[in-house]
Amino acid sequence: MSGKIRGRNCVIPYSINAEPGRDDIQGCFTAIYRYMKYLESVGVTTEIARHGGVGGSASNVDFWDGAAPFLCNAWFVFRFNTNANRTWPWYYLVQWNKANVANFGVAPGAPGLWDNQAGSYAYTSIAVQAAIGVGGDQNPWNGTGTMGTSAKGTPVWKVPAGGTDVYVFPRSNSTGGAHTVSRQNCTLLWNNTDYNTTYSSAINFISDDDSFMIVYTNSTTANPNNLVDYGAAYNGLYTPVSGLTVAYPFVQWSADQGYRPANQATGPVAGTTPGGGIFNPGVTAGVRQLGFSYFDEFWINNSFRANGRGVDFAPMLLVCTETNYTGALGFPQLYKFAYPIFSRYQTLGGTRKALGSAYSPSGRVMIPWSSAVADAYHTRPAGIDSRDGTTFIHLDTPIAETVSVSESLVVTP
Amino acid sequence: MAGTIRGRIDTYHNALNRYKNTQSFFTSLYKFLKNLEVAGVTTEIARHGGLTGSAANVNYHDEASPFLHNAWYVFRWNTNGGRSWPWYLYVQFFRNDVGSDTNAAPATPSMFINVTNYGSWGVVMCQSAMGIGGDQNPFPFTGTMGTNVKNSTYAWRIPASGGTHLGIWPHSNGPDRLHGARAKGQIVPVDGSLLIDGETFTINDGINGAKIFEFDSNGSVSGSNIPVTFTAGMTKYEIQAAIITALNVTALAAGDFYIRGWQGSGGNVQLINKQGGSIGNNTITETVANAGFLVSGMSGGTGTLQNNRCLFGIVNDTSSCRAHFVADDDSLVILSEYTEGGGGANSYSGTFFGVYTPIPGVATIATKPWCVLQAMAIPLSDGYINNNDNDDTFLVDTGVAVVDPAYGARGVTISRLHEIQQAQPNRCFTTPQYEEYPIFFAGTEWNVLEPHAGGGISHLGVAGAVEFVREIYGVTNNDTNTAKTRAYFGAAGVGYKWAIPWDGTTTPGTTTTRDGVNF
Repeated sequence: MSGKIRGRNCVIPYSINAEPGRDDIQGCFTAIYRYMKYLESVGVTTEIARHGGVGGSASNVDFWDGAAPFLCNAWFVFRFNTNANRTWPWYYLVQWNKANVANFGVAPGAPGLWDNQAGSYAYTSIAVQAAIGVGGDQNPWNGTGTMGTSAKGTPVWKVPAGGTDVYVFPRSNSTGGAHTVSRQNCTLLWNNTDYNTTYSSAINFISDDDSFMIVYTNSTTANPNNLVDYGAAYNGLYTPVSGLTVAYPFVQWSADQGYRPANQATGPVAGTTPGGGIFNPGVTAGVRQLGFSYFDEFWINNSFRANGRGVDFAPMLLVCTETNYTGALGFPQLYKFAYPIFSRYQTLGGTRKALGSAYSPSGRVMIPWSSAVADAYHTRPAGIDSRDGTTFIHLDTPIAETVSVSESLVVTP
Repeated sequence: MAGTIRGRIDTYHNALNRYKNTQSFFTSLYKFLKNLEVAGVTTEIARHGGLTGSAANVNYHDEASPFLHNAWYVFRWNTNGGRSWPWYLYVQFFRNDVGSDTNAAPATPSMFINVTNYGSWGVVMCQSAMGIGGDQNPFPFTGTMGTNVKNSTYAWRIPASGGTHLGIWPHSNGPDRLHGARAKGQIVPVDGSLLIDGETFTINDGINGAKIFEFDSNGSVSGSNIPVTFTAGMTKYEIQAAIITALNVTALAAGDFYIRGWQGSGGNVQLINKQGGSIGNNTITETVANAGFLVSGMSGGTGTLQNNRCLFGIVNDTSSCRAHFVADDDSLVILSEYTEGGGGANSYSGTFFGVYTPIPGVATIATKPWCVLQAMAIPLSDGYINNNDNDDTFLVDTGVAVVDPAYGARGVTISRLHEIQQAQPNRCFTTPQYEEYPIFFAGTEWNVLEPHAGGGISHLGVAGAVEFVREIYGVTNNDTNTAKTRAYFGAAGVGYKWAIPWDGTTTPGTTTTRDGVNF
């Protein structure tokens, strides 16, 4: 982990159009783009390619009600630049589709799938990819064209010029996966099947110079007027377990309840739900399926809480669960875990916030936060300005709050 | 963890007699602790050579002056640059065939897993404790080294000279448990207008003698009485507060006193003796004329903090057994092979004494991170609450830890990363590797009986992990790493094992001497 931890909290109000839930997804997509541009302004990222969507042009970068909004199957690619602690860049592709216009992956978003699907009328979706180019110019992007009307290549990602390999997340795009030809499969961030929803969404971004996470609400009629039911998606670095040397300690996953259940296989070779993957440096290095461990043995009932003194942050241990490659790999940065607390719980001092399912104290994602940022809750914001969010820069060392002793796992020499 | 790692490993006990084997284990451990004393790690505090024995009785059963039935010794793990608090280890040898039980002289008071005679066994049993505050010495005794005498009414105590708490294992000797329940009582005050200057109540904590508390409205008390300052205009609630101040502040300032008071309902003062045991059952007396002023207790204290757990036990004459003792300047681990009481051939029990690593959120509280964890059959059971009196049933694992020193030692439960440990060896390495994991534990007890500035919840939640001993999965009993600097013990076959430091040379299970290999 390096650089400042930055964050932004955005509220996406529902639109006044028909099927406002689809505009809600567009709003989230646009909010992600704007946060990427913010990171570009501070040197963390560089925009590599973009398309404004079907029928769109370079000017199509606005929210749904702007003069030139992002349109169906718009996408963008940003590079997380190298820094003093990371000599290799990683690339991040985000794409959305508006289902009543076109399925995911239709031009100009071709080729593209999310969780091995193209979707249907019911699925307005956002999905992401990440890629690392090994060697050469370290650039795995295989696209062409001019910024704003760029074109994806086939495959979407390539071995860099002069390089030796490319690692694409989710796992199905990499060696042994189902999408190694076009490398077009994306990890679903979320889709909104309740396209008539008239409730707002909230989307939060947390990043440092190496990693990026999105936490978002699922606003549905099943959970109306309640922006606490968070999902989360992580793309970024992990800290390897002691003794393990990892050239590209990168991991990706998406979880609609904030975290994936312990040891659940994530990033199958077929590219189906749940999407994700982790770089494994083992005998044959590559992107593999992953799983998680949460110290859940401690959580046999609700009386095990926080030593009576506050919330314990447990690290989330990442494991490779793919046959022949199994083993513990490390701990994600930015991302911790706590149990059992309510979603939106904020630690004393406001340096971390819990996000997850709304209904009862349970496992929670603990993300860096700022007490200066009031997050959305139970309300539609008064104006649309809030969708650009409130940006903050976190304390530099929030991870000191974590259960670091578990990160001293040792390996038998 | 601190200092040099030392060990006496692969000690082999094969006397073809259950009692001799047990005596051999007891003596071998003593010699190891004496080696540590030479290195400055430990100090022998007290010892008795056993029934009819003398100071000379420190040898193996077939040597001159052997340790005899009910011999015992106490060693202190000394403070060092990184640890300002000592901890103590008590070890006792018992042989059933002599005719006296574990509680007989010279070991009185003593029990072994809630009884005083365990069938036809030979047993090495132990306790461990740390004193919090004061002189940090929790072991009361008299006499000369080799023929020392234990305190017959309280085997362990809150340290003198300002001590505040006792941490003790087995847990059944701890606060409000079978062998260390604390005496409690109550005072029902009255309004100040109903009190007369000079009236008194008297409480005895059992160790420091009776203290007389005198209601004082004129600024003068008799002799060394503790003043309870009042005026005629005070309500009974204000009198309640005055009594609590006298108990918790004024009396303490006058010297050691272990009874504390806190606010009960209706203006009552609830009392508790911080020193556990029946020694605290001393009737409160009072001279207040008003019939509304009432006292009750102290009562409910039980035991003499005398219960022991098993380090080594054997019931037949045919089994050979091995044991390993490894220590650093902070911690000790004892592994003993057992064949009875539920174990099978080549099964190991393990006991860890010493320092754990608190998690960061607890580190500022856990200033004395001491714990004891015992697996009767490695590995430790996990995922259940281990804080009741039954923790001294023979085959139940047990553990305590001092999380908040203001509460002494409390019960813990173990966690294990099942998902990860079963993914062994770790194939994320170019050469697949077996991994060792710290043994995490969580506090399992609520504190509801004792007043504390921090509130009533003190022990729940993840506290830390033991790192001197670790767990490993996927290896077999007696395995080592390639360099033989780590060795693994547990039940036969593949499963969870304890990983302990090793000497770099010895193949476990190969030596044939009771002194084993020192490193």
